[in-house]
Amino acid sequence: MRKLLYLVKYALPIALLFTLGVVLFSPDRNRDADTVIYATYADIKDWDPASAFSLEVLTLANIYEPLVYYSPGNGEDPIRPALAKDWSVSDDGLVWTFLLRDGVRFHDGTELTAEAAKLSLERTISLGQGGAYIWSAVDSIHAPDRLTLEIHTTYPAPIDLIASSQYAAYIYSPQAAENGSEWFNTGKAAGTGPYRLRQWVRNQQIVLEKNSDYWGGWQENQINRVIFKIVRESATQVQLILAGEADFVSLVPLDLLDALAKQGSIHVDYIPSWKNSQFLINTSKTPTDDLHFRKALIHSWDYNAVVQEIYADSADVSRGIIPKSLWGHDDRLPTPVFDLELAKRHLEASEIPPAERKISISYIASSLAYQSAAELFQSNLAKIGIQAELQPGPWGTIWSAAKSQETAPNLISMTWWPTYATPSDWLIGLFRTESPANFNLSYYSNYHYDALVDAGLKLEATDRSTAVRKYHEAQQLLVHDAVAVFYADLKERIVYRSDLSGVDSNPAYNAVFFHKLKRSPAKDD
Amino acid sequence: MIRTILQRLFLMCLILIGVMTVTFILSRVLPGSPVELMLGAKPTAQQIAEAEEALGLNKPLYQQYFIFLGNAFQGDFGTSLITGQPVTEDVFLRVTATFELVTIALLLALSAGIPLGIKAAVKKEQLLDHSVRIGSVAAVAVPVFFLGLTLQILFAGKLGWLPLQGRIDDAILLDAPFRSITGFYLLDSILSGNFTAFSSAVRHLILPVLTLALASMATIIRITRSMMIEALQQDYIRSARAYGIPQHNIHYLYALKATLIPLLTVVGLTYGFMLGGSIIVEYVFDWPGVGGYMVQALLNNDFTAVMGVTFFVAFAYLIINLIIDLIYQALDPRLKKS
Repeated sequence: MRKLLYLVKYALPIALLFTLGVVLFSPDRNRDADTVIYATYADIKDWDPASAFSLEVLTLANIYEPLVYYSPGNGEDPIRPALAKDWSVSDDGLVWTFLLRDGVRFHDGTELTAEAAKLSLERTISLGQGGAYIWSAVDSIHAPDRLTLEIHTTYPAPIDLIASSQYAAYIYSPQAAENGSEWFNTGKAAGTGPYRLRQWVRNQQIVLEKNSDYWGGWQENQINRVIFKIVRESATQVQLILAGEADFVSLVPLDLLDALAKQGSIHVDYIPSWKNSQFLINTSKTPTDDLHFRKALIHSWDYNAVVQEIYADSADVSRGIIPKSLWGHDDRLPTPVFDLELAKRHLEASEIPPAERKISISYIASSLAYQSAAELFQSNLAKIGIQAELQPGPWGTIWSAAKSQETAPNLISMTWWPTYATPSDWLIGLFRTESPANFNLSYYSNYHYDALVDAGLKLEATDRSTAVRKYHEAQQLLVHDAVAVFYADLKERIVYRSDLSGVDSNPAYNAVFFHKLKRSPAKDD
Repeated sequence: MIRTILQRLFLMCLILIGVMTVTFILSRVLPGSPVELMLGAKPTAQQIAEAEEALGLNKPLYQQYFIFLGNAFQGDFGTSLITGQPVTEDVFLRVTATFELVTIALLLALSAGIPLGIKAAVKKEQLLDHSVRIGSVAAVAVPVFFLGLTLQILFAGKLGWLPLQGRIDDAILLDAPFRSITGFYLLDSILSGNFTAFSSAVRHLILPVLTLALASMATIIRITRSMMIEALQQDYIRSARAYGIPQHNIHYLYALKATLIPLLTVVGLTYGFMLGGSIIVEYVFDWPGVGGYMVQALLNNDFTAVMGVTFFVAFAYLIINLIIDLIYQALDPRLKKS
């Protein structure tokens, strides 16, 4: 005991003094101007570019490149060169030929050739994971010479659009492909992009470093190093950007966006995205199997209040399922109307007796936006005599329940975005007849609709204007049949330090392209 | 002694099997398959079916259970469905981070809490006693989340003295890395002779440790104070005073000894609780510990991770209790006989 007391009396203070000395006299770290810090809320789960199908694209988009990029706007052809500098399609739409850039090297030193690209795509397709299904039309891939890649398809599929996807379309080194998923998932990468993967410390940070040999070249004031910090708490992210310890933050509460935007040192950009949110209505389950009842629901949703108040203007009211920023959107579709009188009239016209006007609504519990919107909806429904039971839960749980008609709710929240730039992703993925249900949680089945979207899909490559007409007709059917409450086309919010310029606004990629950024020489903090 | 330890270890194995069985059943009967989440944004029905097959989820529950037990005995808890990494690796990485945080917080709570409890007991009903009691009630009452954020705003945001989050400076991880030997950054940085890393690790520990230590410090103060008041009224203390033994020795050598058994109980329980319960501090300060991992696993029904982390927390709790029991016997030999 006496020894313990001596320890407490002498050893502990000495240890504390030593520690204090080391801490106080350690130099502060100065951040380099050519380093960008991005606070992200989740670590990478899958480093394999063949199968990564989630938030990984934020990082992978700077390490890997596809054959072509999709870049909408200006009414020009949105397909832009990436690793392919030119491409063409045969008259029958079945053979796509890509001419690759010469002199491009992967990060491991291997040269980019048509054979390497072929191996990469073939591996992605044969793994069949993540977004690999986008290549389902591919029959075979050939490399007739060093830089020519040919893709043969079983039907005229829009390979230019598919090859521009942010999922399952990256070209990676054949050596890496041979090493396999296990190699990738130890935090390894070998793409052709402007940044190499320098370090991955699980749950803490990912560091990308400039690829000096990048074929796109480098200019002054570009970003040489990117650090992704894993910061799960939104309040901490806000503190980080305010203190200048992060240049980008990904998790800012909606009600703080205005306050941040007023800070001179921080920019908040609202960029149209291809993400939209809707509540799918189960068309096969009573009472929502009644068309008038569904229309009563559609008119009980307060569209403007949800978008302006709950989403704080970071969304537009949807018109149909295809967002305005993507080809195939139908501008002639009516803007949905919140009108409780009209809703009441539909309710009276329905065959549902007052005692059975009860519905269940599922949504992802962790989403404040869904919760607030569902509660507002519940209160409006009560005004017209519909009793709504809210069933929040984790996505895995509510999705599993919704896939079985016995346990399915009447409405379920859904946020969707396309795997590549095609309206068919929504039209087929969410509403084409499907048994058993996977994402068609409206249980919508209309053979006329199915024929329209099938025809549209096959015309995308050869006759896009006819495909668009088919898709317009299909969307009109969806609105007429009231299969979902289409309420919000979401805007991407990018919150970043204002001394950075060149932040891209491309809805096709959920990523910041750091190679395009420059930092003003005089940093303002 | 050895026989006691062996008996306790045998019992521990039975308890662990019981815990794992209950957790296994609960995690499998809960609605919602984690496979959908495991596969990313929009898996196809075929991908889901293939993944369920690969994970053996199509097999009867009892078969799944025995496969799990067989693998678990070999230290293989499978791959986390959410992180895609082996659960054992995930848990080890995070456990060491939590251990470091919790151990230092507890040491701080003890080294400040015990003397304050003693002083409060000695100065009973005086200003110091009232101050300590009010302070400890306040410390228990302040929500950990609020305290953490307040410390962040003050020391990181306004004063800029300490880092806001994380376990170490990102530049040190990158440019001055040190070898991971124990997983404890303080220890590893010293063993590697990397004092810059050590300094950074200390700076990153200060705020989360303070936040975590405060509530348990309040409990320790209150227990020490009440036990000391009781001890100071005992005959042997009165005799010691009559013999003219210095007050300091009476308080710290004789009276304190009587408080150690209940204090140890509190320490054991607090330590076990903090290992799994430091989740809020871990979230606020982005501490890559096991608490955050556990919540993430539970929310996503990542059952392989749930099983791995439950095993660890149960194991740590049992070991801590075993150690505490052994210390009891060392401190009070009468307990050996009972």
